[in-house]
Amino acid sequence: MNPRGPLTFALGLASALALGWVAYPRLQYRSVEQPIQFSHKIHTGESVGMTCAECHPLGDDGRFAGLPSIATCEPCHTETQGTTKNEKHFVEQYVTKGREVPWLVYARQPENVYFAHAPHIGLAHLPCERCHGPHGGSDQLRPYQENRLSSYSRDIWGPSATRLARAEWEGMKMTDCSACHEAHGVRESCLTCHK
Amino acid sequence: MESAETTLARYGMVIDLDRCNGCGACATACAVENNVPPANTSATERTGLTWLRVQRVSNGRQFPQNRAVYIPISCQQCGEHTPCVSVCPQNAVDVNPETGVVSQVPARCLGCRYCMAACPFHARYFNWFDPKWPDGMEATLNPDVSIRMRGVVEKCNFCHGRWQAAKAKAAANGARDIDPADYVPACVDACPEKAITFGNLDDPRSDAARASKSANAFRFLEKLGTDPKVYYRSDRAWVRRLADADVTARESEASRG
Amino acid sequence: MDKPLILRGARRCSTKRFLTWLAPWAAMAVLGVLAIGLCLVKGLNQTNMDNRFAFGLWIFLDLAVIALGAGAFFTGFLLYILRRDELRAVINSAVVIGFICYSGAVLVLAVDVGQPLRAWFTFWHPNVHSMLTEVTFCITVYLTVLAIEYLPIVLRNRQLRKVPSFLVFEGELHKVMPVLAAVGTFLSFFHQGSLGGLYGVLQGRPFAFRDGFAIWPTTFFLFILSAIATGPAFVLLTTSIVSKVSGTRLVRHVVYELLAKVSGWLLIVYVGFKSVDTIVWLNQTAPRSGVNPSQFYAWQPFGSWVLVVEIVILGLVPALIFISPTRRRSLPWLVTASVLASLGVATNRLVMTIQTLALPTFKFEPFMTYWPSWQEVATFLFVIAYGVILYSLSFRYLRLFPQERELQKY
Repeated sequence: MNPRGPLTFALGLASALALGWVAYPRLQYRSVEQPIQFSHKIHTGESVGMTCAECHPLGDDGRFAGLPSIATCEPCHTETQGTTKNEKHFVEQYVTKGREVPWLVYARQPENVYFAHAPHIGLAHLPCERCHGPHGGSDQLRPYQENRLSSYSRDIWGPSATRLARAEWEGMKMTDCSACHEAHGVRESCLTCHK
Repeated sequence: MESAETTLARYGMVIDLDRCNGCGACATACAVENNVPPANTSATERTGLTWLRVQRVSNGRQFPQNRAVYIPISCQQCGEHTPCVSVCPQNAVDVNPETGVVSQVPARCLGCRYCMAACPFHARYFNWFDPKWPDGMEATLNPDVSIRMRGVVEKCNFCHGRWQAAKAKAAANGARDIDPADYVPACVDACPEKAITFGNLDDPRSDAARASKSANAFRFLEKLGTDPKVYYRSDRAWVRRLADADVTARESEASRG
Repeated sequence: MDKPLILRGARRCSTKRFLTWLAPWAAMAVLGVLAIGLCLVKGLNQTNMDNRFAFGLWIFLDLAVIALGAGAFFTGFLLYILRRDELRAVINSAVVIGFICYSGAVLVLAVDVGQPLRAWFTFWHPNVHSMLTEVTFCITVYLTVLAIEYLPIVLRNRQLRKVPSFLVFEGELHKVMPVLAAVGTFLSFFHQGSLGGLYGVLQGRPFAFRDGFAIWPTTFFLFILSAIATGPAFVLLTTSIVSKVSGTRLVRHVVYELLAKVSGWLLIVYVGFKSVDTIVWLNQTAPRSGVNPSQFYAWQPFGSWVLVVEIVILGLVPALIFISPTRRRSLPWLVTASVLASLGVATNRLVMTIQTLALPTFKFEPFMTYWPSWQEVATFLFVIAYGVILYSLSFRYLRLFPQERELQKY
């Protein structure tokens, strides 16, 4: 046997793993910055003290409002709050002009998925953090990562390429929904989550 | 832990053929509700997407005895031995246990069309063309129904998006079961003659359950044993006789409208 | 020009003549590629299939070539498992024919489905209750088996065998041939059957629906029987055609006789079962579905003559020719019977595909008609051209008939 064999094999394996775990995820996603930097922490912190539902409410008809419109921001932001360039830009470009901010939604589901917040909040009483993580305390908006092939948000797969050792809220794949449904005895069929 | 079980329903409808005047409002409402694209210019009546089609059938007699009936036909939502479910090679079709609705998931469909060959009611449609809407018309699309790509099969699902909306409304108020008034398919809503009665066939208080058991109610091709959940009714015997397949060719030839 | 590649000791035509032979087939293949391209790019609206005729020429073609390709596994089964050594004379050719049939079928299927890129879903999200899942699994695996069986034939080419490691590899492959033959037999029995089951389970289509044993409708068994009965006949037919076209004797007549005998007796069994099945279906199964069976044959051109042609003229007649020892001695009789038997299995597949869909289920609907578009026909022709070209190349450069060299001495 060629004595260089094992070495060649090890090198080949290492480069294959590096390609798959490091290079490919970089190739697969493109990063986009949010139009405005927003701090959840300031809004949910003691001085302002807002709750999640104040900006992301669930209506009586079961429709979830998703992201707040500029009208929600307006009462406080007609005048510039603080001195950051970011805030100035926000007020001048969006609040004053009455334009909506084109936020990039991390948790946006693919078009063939039906998801309603209502049963998860009203029946299962899940806290927001169960699926969205503790971003209510975050100071920054991380870049939005879009899959170049499917154009899905990276949050669907989750930040870990291997999906090993991930937090409870990381990943929103079909298997993740199903695992929780199964654990809680939810009767499932295709139409439960697809439309 | 509180149970996540909902009361199981078996939704069905009873279509009164004596009331139907063939106006086609049901078919139009269906297409609008379910994001069915406008037909391609080269589509024929056999390559279009008509989740609900209204078929005119005549009694085959000469004037003045000639009579016609209009039969709205959608997916009959078979219960037993659902012909399309078992044949799909990749589980794109199943039965929702909560509603009894036979699903069709376009994103899973391979487009092999085996389910179409299996369906005796010809209620399944293939996307022979790319779906296209005139400029600006995309704004009218219903967000509760996904649009289908070329090369997949689609069919009626009793406006499942409306059931989901009713379910979400109930859930927002902490209730597991929907209010029956919140869930009615678009065709039922649209019918000016109120010819379609919709509801849970397992709920003896529902109008649909009562109507399905009325004297002149029948189902098409019952002997195939697929247990459809779409019933029809007519007081005219010749119309009821259309339900069976057992017929000589000549009779069949004559009754073609 | 290509002399160093040509089989040693075999008489083959000049390069020029060979290319002249290939040219029309190549033209046909180019037309086919154009049609396939149109279907893939513009979609299946290029075909004349529709919501009522969801299956058409292509599915019929798939079923027919897979039935005819059964000669590959069944000859392998007879040779390697039942040890009928005479069949070594045709096994290589049978493998190439089988490979052509199966790869052609898979290719057409890839054009036929609406979303070919989702083909892997069947493996990732299989519905184990579907006959089509079983067909997909078995055909994919069996095509791989056929490719592995083809490989040693290729490696024995005059130039390729000069590479020592190829020779070693070929020798190793040869040792596992009986195992591959056994795997191929197992897989083939299942998917030939499941192709029949595909129709037999259609409860909503009384013309196709059959009772059966356990989960298998009778069509499951009938398709296996008809495929293994016509497979050897098709090997006989192709061998005699190649012999005629190339002007060389390729196998001893006893080989033809053995193939004919196998086909003959299997056809007798098939015709017997098919007749019983037809009687039970017309008298019990169909009436239970609420259908008057006379209705099945009330629409022209699919009258009851189809049954007579399929079972008697294209089933019983070739069977009787094959089992008669005196007829078997004459090659023209054998070729005639092989043509009849091959047409018989094709007719059966045509009827199961086309008539099933053409018949109305509602009494107020008409009998449906369908005529394939040129794109469908050209795709069909592509498979034929591809088969002829691949077979011609194999015949020229590879040893498909081991007895050929010996027979040329006479």
